[in-house]
Amino acid sequence: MNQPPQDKGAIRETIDTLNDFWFGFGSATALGLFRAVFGTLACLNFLNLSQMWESWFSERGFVPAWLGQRFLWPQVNLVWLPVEVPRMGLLNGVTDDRISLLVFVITFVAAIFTALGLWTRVSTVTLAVGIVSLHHRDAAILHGGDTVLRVMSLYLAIAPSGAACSLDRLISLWKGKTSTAITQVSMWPQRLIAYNCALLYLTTTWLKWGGHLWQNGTANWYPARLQEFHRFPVPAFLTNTPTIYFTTYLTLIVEFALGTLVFYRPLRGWILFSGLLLHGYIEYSMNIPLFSYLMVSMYISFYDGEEIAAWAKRRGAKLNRFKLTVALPKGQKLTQSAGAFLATIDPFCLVSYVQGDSPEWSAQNHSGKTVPVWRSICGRALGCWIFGWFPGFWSRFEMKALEPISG
Amino acid sequence: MATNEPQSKTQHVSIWVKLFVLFHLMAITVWSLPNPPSAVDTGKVSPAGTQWIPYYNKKYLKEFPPFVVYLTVTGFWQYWDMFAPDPTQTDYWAEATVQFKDGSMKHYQYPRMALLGLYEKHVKERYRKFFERAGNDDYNYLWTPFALRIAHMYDNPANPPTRVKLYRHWRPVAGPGQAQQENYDTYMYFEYVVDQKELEKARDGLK
Repeated sequence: MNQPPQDKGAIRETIDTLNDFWFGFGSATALGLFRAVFGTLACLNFLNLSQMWESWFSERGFVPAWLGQRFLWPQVNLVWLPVEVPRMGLLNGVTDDRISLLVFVITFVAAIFTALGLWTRVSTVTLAVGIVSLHHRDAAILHGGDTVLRVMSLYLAIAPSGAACSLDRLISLWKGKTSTAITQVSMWPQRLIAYNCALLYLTTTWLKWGGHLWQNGTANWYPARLQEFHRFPVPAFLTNTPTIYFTTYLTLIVEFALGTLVFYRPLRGWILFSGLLLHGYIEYSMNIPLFSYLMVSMYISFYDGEEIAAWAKRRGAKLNRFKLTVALPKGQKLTQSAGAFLATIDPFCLVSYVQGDSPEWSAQNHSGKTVPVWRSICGRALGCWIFGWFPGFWSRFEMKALEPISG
Repeated sequence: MATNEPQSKTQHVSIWVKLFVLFHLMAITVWSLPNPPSAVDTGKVSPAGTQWIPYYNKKYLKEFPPFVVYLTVTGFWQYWDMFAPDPTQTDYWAEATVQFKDGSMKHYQYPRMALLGLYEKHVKERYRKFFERAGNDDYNYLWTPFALRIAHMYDNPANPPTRVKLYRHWRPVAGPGQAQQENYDTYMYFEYVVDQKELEKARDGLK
């Protein structure tokens, strides 16, 4: 009845800790980076599918609309009401191939825009609706990686995923419409991605532990010998006894850790590194397109944006031979928006800007050699790889980036 | 570095968002937990050890309508069974023969990953995944559309396909210390008499 006050405090503290973990605010960088990586993988996925669109999404294909509906029971019965709720999907019951093709193309374009972070809210929502529609149209060809693609696209659609690492942010900075400070967002969408990733590993490990071959340590023997999955050759000792026992149990341990201990920060890096090795091996040896890439892309969500930004700066500090010093034209300085723009596109902080003595822009590399200005910036500032090579961009930038030094 | 620490870390998150997150976490967790073994599920065997969790989860939570509706309608449905409970232990591939109105025959090699180059097998992996289902007796309703698609591929109004036979080839992978079977077993698992009206419909659709 009467709990000691310190117990009440402990409960309160636990609730506060959980509340802070799930709903606290932090940098949007991790979410933005995940969006960029995920969007790129979604593009590759649609590029792949586009070559077989007719086979899988047309009425003449292997899965006409009626069959797609039958395969994935299309409606959900509400037990307490005599109504059925349809699955979300723009292609439910659509038999006109032109509409299916249009939805496919729009989804593909949305994936490109999601990767770039352009009109991000609209792009991510369109991408999610498109992926769900296509998966509900033909679920007979989906593998685990596709489920990751669908679920993660939905998280990105409800998250402020354009707040960092996006063209949207660069455009806002350039126009002076947003603060130069790192955008702070509530962490719950990123935590959902991390939780879902951990849940995936935990439940698959649980399911595997019920499997006879996982229990007797021979599970990894079989995939290595399936001709239909074979990609690159693997040294024989890795796929034979006794190594196979070791790798089978190690797989279970790594996956279990990815589902549980990964949230314990002192172990996080090692566990995720083990996951990278695991999926690296799967990607090398087995033909399951994009599966491993999609899985490891979720690992970004286990890091806070501040950690990622700090890591990039630490790495940049060690890359002395890539450092570049750009001298501004004499008597000129960068406008506030141009300064913020240039700082944002250079996460490794490899380029520094100083007052110059000549009337033109100039740049020197780490050894003091004069190098072309914009080409050198583009080679070092990661963020401008997606747009910096467009002809005419930098000449326009030059015209608007400077203002006279007052006084 | 410029930072923007909020005054209170949680002040801007509405209670409705928190309730949604809680509901979502419960839904995906309940849905993703493994199903109990079929013997337990059908009541032949009593659950033992940790099997009680999936048993009760399936019985009382997994089919809880708000969870089912939410996950299936939105697309958040998920079940993670890659290489589980045991990895696939059999190689499968398919081929077909197509018979035409004039009695002639053609062979169709359904894309077989083991015969394809690196790029092609990357692009065509969906064929393997589809045949995992379309070659399975549990999905026999896929067989007719499968055969019809092959008929479409060989359609010629002057000499249309009249029959399609689907063949399944399989070879189990021998376990450690066991002799590996050299050849694949073969079985014609479906013969389809082509519905000419379906072919005509497709031709009309292409006009």
